[in-house]
Amino acid sequence: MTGIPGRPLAHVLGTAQVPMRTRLPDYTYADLLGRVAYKAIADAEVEARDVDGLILAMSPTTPLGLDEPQYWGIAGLPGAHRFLGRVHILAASSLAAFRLACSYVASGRKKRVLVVAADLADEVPSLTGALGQLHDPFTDKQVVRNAIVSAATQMAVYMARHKLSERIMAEVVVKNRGNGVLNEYAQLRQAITLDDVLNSPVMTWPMKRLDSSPRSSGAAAILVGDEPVQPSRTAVTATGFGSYAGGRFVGSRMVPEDSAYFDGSDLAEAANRAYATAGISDPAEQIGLAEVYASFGILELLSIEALRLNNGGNAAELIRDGRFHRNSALPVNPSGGATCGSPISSTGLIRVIEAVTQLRGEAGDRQIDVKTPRAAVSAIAGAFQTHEVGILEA
Amino acid sequence: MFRHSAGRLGSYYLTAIRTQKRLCGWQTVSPSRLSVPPRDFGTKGEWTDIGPGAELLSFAPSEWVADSGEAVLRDFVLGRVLVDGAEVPLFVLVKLNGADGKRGLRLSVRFAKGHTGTGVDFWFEPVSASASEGAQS
Amino acid sequence: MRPGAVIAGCGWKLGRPFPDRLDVVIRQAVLAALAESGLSIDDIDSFVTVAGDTLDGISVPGRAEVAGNYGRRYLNVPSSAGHGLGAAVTQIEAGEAKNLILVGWGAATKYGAFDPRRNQADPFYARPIGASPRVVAALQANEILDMPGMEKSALQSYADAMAQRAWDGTVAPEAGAAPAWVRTGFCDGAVAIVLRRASDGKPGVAVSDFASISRAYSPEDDRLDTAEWVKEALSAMSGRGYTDGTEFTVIEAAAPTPIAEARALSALGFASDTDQGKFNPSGGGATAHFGQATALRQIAETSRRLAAGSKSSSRRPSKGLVLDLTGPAGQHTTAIMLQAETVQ
Repeated sequence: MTGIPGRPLAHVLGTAQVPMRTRLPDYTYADLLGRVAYKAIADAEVEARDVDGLILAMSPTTPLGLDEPQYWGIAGLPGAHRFLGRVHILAASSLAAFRLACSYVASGRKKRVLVVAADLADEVPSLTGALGQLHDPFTDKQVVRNAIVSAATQMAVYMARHKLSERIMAEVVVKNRGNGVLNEYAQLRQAITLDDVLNSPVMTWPMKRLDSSPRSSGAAAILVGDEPVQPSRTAVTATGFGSYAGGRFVGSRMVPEDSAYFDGSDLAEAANRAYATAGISDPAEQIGLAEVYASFGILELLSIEALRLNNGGNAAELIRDGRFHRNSALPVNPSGGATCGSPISSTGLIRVIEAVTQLRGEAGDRQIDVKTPRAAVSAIAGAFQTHEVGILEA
Repeated sequence: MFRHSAGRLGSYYLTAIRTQKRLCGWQTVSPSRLSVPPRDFGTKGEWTDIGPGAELLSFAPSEWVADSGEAVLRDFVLGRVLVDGAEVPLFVLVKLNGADGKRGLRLSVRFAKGHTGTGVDFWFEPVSASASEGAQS
Repeated sequence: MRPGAVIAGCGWKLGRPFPDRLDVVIRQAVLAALAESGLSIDDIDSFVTVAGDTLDGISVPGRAEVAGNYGRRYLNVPSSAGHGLGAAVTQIEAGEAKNLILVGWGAATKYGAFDPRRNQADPFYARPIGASPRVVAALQANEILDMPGMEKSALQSYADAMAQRAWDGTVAPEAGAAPAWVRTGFCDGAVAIVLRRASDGKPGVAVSDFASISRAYSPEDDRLDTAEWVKEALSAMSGRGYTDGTEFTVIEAAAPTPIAEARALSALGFASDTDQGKFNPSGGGATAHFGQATALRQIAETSRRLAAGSKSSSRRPSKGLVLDLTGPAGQHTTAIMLQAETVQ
């Protein structure tokens, strides 16, 4: 968005999430939305009748077994009678929905917009199979390619380019699993070692099971508004967004000229757009923490570099050397990230919630030392096909 | 292929229909509403009985959907009713038994002898029908 | 609120089904819209797509590629044409986008043979009792039949007129036991609309206002009355109250069935037995339904009619209204006001 760099586009008024688990049999999809919606407005101390817009992030629906779930899901939610639509861009859905909510507030059309998302990942026998329904039947389906294979390919290229061992590549998930121990909402809360990662089953070389996020059910909600409502609470605002559609069927990208799939340069362009709007010229200095969507460790490495948080050097070795850990100058994924739980529709909102919670100093046991009160959040749809970056400031 | 969990509240609601032949709703203060079927908003609530009477608001004529291959049960129509004690209408199965189906027709709930754990375990019939519980068609 | 966005160009196609591949037709619509707008693809910085999951078999990122979105800002808002338009206009008004293409499509002809929308009903309380969108629409139709002015003969005339306008008399009505005014006329469709900032000062049809209201799958209303939902959407527009429709040159509505559509239009003064020529000149959405993006065609047609009408200097700037009622009963209702004038 254009305008004065760093100008608040919308204020984050309230947030809510539920502890992530493989299964959440106590709740239906509609129940999960209801719980986080009312928890978020309670967090904001806002009445349901004062919410004048509702956006649902939901993608994909194949694991849920229900098309157009917005009809069922919105009954009784704050803002339901002013539903603004469903946003559907795979794992980038809820960050894009958050961006749209901020647009409605920034444009002056709405005062308070609630964004909600929920996932039930265990109601279909094969999550991989359900997600596989999304691939183009002509360019993708004949190839044994799914999210795991895509990320493994990126991992293999990254290792070859930087001449890295599998051991160094495992540092990022060990970092995140350590962070997850302190996060009450994380699905995985046990620390692991490098040897644990290396000894875990190979899914598609070099991707091992512990390099990958678990299958996660969860839900999240965020209320944004045109002005803060809780004077005693640190105000957090969204100050910039960047969106970039690489938009290619992966089968048509395996050509020498197209390196974006391997180097994350499309995400870098999305980040550049967000930084330009937020008035950031040196992200490594001006960003205090980052929550980046990374269902596989390699995505976090590429995201750190694409967001220019590294100032040279590859992210894998920097993490080995202590950078981006929770006690460093620029922690990445202090929540544990998607490594510790990744409900696909909700994950973008969860990145924002974690950033907001840290910026507010409300993270309890997992609170980091925020050296600069500015956070970057990012999400990737598909296999580096569309990208969203957001900047939040306290 | 899919296995859907009805959730804590939904399971209570469906079990009450199956074992207690009882329709109920989930009454919450925040939001202030009686949800039938129940919705979990993470806030305190309590179960409130509704029915057994209801008022017919509208229904889908069988001849308008018979050629569509839709899964509408024989002898039943889809109806919208306002159950006594409920606040808002809901979709239910209705067995008109030749009645006119006009808005305002008084109905009474019937429960299946067997159960599926879904909305087919109960339906509504005009109050002039037999007072005994009927078997599912 | 001053309008922030104008419609600069449109392209669209209907088919029953498309003779060409869906992605080819979509691309043709995008190119046609660009040509009319005078912009090139290099001028475009943002895309919004409206495409339902069951209607194209295209993966979500693939939709961006099909629409020509490479390298640009992207949102996919598949829930309705009105929601997609809202997302597009809002991004322009917020200063996020300068030149944006709104693209929607659906290959729904196949729904005439098998309607997969039953999967929209929840698996516990709706699907087991057959409360699929088609049956819900039939229930609503039966309810609307009891409302004033809804005479069967007039509704049949309305349905016939809409089919004639949408298909130019080239396609025979579908056979079946349900009356024509209860049936949805499924087809394939693709629409592209180029929007730009009003502050650019270039010619276009302004999106002068819009508002969305909604109900859930099982609406909590006493009646499934599309006229009431239309009135609510009109009231929800910024600073406006209910209007009786006389200020509009064109009024279009897209609803799940012709009877629901006629009822929706009655809120603006349409009477089934009096065709004033300004209601649904496109043929409406119920007889040319290609999924959640259906109303985009009517937004495009209305924009073009208003633009053509405004070329006559003797006429006052003309206004149009498009009512998008998406969902089994049309419960996601968006009202969109268009105005043909050069915005300063």
